[in-house]
Amino acid sequence: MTGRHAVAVALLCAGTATLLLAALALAVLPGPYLRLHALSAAGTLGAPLVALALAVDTGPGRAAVKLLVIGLLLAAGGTVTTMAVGRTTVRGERRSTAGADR
Amino acid sequence: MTDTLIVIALLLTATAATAAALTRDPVRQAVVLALLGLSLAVLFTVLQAPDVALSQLGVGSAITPLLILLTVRKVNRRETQPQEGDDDRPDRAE
Amino acid sequence: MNAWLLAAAFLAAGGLGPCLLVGLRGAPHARLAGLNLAAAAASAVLLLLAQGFSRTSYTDLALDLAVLAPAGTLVFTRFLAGDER
Repeated sequence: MTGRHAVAVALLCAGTATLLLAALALAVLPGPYLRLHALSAAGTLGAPLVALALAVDTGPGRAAVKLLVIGLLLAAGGTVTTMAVGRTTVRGERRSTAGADR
Repeated sequence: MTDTLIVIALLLTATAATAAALTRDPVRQAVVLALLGLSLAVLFTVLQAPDVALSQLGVGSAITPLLILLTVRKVNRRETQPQEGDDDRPDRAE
Repeated sequence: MNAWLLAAAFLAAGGLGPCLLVGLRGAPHARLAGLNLAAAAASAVLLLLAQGFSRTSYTDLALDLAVLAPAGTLVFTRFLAGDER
């Protein structure tokens, strides 16, 4: 019980630290392309780690499976949206530099 | 502990709502409204109203941006035939 | 007064705050980055709140957000990409 709780707290600390670091990076890093790195870290690592920590703390059962499914959904959604946002950023930047040339 | 959470959520909501009121460009305002929906959902959850938060998530993060963007696209299409070069107005809010 | 609520408070302040800072300024595609990260942070906050209040039914909120946030972001990217032409 205490071992499982310790593992859960460790996972929670890792996930929270990842999300906080990503948010800090989003605010601090200059330029739109560098900011995209923060998105992928948070979406594929931070949020699923938090879900995994909660599933470990809950213990085996239906609730833990639901939390794991939510973690998987967050990871998949984070990947897809990061790629889409990256593509939109490239197009937007290209269009704004082309607009500056005109 | 819960009071701290309520204060944090209230501050986030106040910031997002003020920005939503001050933003002029509808496309940017749609992004701000999605952010406002997220912070409102967190606020409702902290205040122990998960049903309201559930509907707020559905409306705020998917339906409101979709409707605003569809309207903007339709208006832009109608506008570009008579007059041109008016579609990238700067944001005059800040 | 437990670790989950503490982590939720930290994430709401330090995770959603910078996202709002980025998401409320700049060009539309730059705001999208803030919105995307805010959705990830908000779903983590909702999950932690569910565990902290020890109401398992609150996890439905995070499930809802995990499904709807990518849909909303894809609506934005689709619109902003179709705008070019």
